[in-house]
Amino acid sequence: MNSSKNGTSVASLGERVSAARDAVTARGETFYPGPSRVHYAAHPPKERWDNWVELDSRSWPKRVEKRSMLVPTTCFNCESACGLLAYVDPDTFQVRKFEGNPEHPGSRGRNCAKGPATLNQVTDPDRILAPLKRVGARGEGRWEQVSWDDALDDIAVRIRRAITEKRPNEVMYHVGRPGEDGYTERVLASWGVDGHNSHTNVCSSGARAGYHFWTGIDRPSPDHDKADVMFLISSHLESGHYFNPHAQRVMDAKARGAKLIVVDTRLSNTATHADHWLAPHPGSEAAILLAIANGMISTGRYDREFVRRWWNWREYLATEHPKLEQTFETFERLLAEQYKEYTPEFAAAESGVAVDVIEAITDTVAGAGTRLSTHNWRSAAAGNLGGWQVARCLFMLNALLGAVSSEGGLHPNAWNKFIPRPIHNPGHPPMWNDLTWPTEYPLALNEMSFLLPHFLKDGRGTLEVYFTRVYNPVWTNPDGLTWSEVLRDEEKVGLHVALTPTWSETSYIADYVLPMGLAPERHDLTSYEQYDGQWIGFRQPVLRTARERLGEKIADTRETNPGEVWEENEFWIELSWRIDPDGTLGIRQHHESREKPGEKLTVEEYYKFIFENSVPGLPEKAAEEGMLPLEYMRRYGAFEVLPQVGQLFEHEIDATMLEGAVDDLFGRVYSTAAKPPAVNLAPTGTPVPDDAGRNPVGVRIDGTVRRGFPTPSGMLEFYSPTLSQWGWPEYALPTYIRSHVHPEAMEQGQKVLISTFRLPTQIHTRGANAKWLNELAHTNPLWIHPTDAAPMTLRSGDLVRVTTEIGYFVVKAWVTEGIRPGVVACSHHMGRWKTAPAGGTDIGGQTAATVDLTRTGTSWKMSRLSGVKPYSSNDPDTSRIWWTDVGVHQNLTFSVHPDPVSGQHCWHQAVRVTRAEPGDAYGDIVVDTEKSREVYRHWLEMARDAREHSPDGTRRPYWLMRPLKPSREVYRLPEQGSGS
Amino acid sequence: MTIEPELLRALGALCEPPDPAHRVVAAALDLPSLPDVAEHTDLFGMQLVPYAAVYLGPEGMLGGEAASRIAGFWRAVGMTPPAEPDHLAALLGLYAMLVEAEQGEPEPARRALRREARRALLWEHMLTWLPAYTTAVSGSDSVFYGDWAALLGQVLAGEVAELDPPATPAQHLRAVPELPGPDAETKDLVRATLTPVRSGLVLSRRDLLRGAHTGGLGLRVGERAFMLRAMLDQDAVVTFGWLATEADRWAARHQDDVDLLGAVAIHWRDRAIAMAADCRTRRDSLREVLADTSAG
Repeated sequence: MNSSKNGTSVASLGERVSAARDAVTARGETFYPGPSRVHYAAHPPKERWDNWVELDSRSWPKRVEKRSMLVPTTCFNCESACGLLAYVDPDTFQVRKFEGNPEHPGSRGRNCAKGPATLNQVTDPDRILAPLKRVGARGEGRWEQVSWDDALDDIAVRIRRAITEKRPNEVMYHVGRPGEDGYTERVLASWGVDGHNSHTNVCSSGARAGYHFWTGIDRPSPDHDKADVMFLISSHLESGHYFNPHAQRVMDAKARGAKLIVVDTRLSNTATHADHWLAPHPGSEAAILLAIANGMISTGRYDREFVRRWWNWREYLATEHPKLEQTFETFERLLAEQYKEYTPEFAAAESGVAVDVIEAITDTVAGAGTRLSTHNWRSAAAGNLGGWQVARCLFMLNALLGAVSSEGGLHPNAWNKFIPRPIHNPGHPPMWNDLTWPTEYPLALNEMSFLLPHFLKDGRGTLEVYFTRVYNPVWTNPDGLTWSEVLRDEEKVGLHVALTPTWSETSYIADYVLPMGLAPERHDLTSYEQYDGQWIGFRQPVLRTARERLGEKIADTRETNPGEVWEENEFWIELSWRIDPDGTLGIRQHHESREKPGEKLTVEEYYKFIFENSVPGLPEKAAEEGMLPLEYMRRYGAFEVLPQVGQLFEHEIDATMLEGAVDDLFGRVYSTAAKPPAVNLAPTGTPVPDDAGRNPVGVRIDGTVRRGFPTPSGMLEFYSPTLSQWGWPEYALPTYIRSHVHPEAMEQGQKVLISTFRLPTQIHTRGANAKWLNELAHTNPLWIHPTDAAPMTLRSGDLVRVTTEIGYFVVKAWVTEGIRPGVVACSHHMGRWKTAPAGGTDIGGQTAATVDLTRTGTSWKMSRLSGVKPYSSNDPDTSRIWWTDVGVHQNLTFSVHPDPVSGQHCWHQAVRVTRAEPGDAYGDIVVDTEKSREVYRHWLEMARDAREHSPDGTRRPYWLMRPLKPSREVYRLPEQGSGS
Repeated sequence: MTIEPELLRALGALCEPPDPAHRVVAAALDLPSLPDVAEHTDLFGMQLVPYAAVYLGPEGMLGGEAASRIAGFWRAVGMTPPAEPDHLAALLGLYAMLVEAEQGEPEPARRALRREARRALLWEHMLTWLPAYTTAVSGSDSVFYGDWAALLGQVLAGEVAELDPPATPAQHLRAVPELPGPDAETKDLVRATLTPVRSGLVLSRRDLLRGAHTGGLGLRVGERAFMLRAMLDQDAVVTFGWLATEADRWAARHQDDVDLLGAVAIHWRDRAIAMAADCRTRRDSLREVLADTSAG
């Protein structure tokens, strides 16, 4: 036995140091502080967050100490919800800076540029600080400041009237990235309106559909951290979904030696880090994926046992091949037959990617086994007609390898996400809103949001009150000038309320502009799938929390926010009370305190209830540090509910749940046992009870009842009876759909325009008022290959005219080999504009070009009067603006392209690129909205209406996800001729 | 005996710059009062930098092939190599993790695999240099770090008893270049002398200072190679004599480890013996030349 110098044995020293660590950690302190190689601790130790001392760099060489109180919150820019630490000056109560929160399980203390730039948004000299009401006509640009009381009363009266006059569908809430889980859907449910509208169909619903048809869950959660091969159909390392939390794990895996495959027509920053970069012709991605699948199937390089156990092959055989022998061997033979046409040669011809590259990728993927993490988000799924099949074909690779919820594999997001039960949970309203869920798109995963102005023009309905919430459809959506026409029409939109921290092209044409808080000025709860685990993140008004730490009592977040900026949580409670002041509508009860019945619910009580009652493990964890759960969340900003989830579908079902159990033909097990209340409200598909009313509880696999997937069959649905029965039998299996920009669909001389990519340091309208981000990125030239530029003798910087179906825009060219020949690309992230003030308020100084916008009938012309320029404000940096460019708003020239199955807007455009003509100027945009109506009608004809294709007289398969889910009776199609 | 992984992490943490919170760690390990940051900087920044590459690399410098090899080991065990994969604290942290992985593995075959990984890290990347390194630190002026190094040495000895050496010594030890021949230029000789895995010597700046005093030489302050060259320029006979004595001392130290470490200690001992012999040969040759010159 070894002994230390004073005779203590090494073994007992080991025990002592372990005990010391336990004791220190139990006090909530850090045992190994400071940048350490043995422990992640490169951030201020949490026990010093109340009084963190740094030297003031501006005072150098003098050593002047600067004290800060560190308060966590959650970023509100992209949807990653990374943890931030606000450094609050305890003397002035101003935020000095934002850095990463090391206690956040998703972002782990690391942030992208957009996180620290939150400070710019907070101090933005152009930000909206008080409620404003328009003066004069909509869009005239004149405003008067009003009190919150006046604004709330006006809005509440209109909503109350719509509800009491049985016009609840005339109340609509249209959200951009929500940045929170479930709060506002609950508010709408409490009002009894089916008025939730999202941006998702211009973003991710294509990919969601692909994942949902397989698993019953609509998002992927790749476990990059532990993968051997990562396969991305997006630009994840710079701007993809959950960019920062995923990118850091992708890079960790790469550093460990994992391989990275990137499919992107453009040489993105992500592609530059790939072991294999594939730049296919846009829309051919599924052909490549199926060639890989074929390569694996035809050589037996797949997990037979996983496929046999978890694919719904029995249902497929019985339905589609009832006369064949119903064995797995038969299925394998059919599977090989089904995909044999997808040879590397076929994929190469479709995509332009070489055969040997596709074969090499096939070997790499096949070699990954269960450690294959894949991800498709936007990109090809959002660009192409049939793009939803890209995600479906990508998931097929995981499903072939058994890399589903495995370590290093792909997890369904609902199992890597946690949504706790709130204090009040009103049932979903018995309403159906045809403006968002029209019968033409019964399988659309999300609201047909971008068709709203066309539906209003068609006379399908009107809106009494329309909220745009941190959302800018005029700028973000295709066909923005049709939006502009409709939003200016007071007969179609009675009252437009913009809830926003910043000015935008949409808020200019609002009736009320109500200032809402940024990341450090509001409460929200978030949880996102970023690795195999579940966590919740807490966004909070940091100055309110800082002052409460010092003993103050704050009752209303406006007390600590700048100007009269509010937060949405309190706003919705207050508005709900004003809609139903005496409680007779049944709304108020969902916004009342339980601790003090009859009084308004406070955000304090709302989150206190959740953290004390609905988050497993949080009360115990808080108690270990001598705190209450809400105190814990206010101090640390995040909590990991479950570190490793794994293959939930394999879990055996408890015998108590199998009371009166019966199996259907394919092993779906239904029972009469009552469903226990869900602990985790993360949304999934909801398989329906059988005809006898028994609930689906699991699926029988080799004699054992297991949890399975939330699909109708409980299995992975390689074969989708839903698609088959609802009018799309040709797409019942994962297949390749030729895009609307397939070479055969293009006219001579047309090129594909890719517009679906972000700039790494921008985030649509939200990032627009961050000066650091604007300085970093403020233009969006047209990427064009030298071989395409040569015939026009184009050089970088030359002006080109890009002509779409409904108009054209004039932009600068960037001649680069980073794009495939025959394809051009322009980021949608730039091109903010405002019309000349004409007596109104000049707003959006550092962000938007000033334009002249004229309308003649349905023809619109935008001409740029000036770019951005230096100006005086309370921020001296605005006088240092050295750039003038802000990019070009190409989306205005895009018409709507709803995918007939997923409902996703198919962003890719077939365009003609020519040298700018005499008289053309940078930023010119010309659009004819009547042409956009024609394109809308053309695409609408491709839809297969539930009224003709519904197998059961309902509007939509009940099991599919829907943000607000009315009861099944409401799903029934209206009688023909009775209207909807 | 099963090692407590936290003990390894604690020892790793203590070779980081001292922080007030380290008091608890040091107290738990029965170590004396924490030194100030200057003492840490002097020892780990100026005298004996705690990176494996310096002691195992064929150039005796930071980074390079030796650091890459250790980064490769991190990858081989499924870990992402940190920014400095061969820093002593990182290696001790990794070793602690491997111990935990082994202890936490219920399946015998997998546990055996984890144990093999632990054995490989210990015998290839730690015991190949740390006995010499802890010996050198123990001989420094720092009371705190002297005790720390002694404790680390004891812990490693405990691990040697726990994990037998692999059948063959690490390939990279076997591949270490020999000392340069008698015709080598001074700069190559100096570089080889200051490359521990080639010379068997760990010479810090303080050691060179001592050598200069011993030989009555003027000390020129600079990087170690400059200092040693300056000593040779002033009086090569004296300097080689001193180096030979140092090499004898190191050979004796390595000899003490032979029973415990086997082939690893033999490599270091033999290199030190060769170094001593080489220095004596050079010294004697020079003496002869000088004698001839003065006689002539």
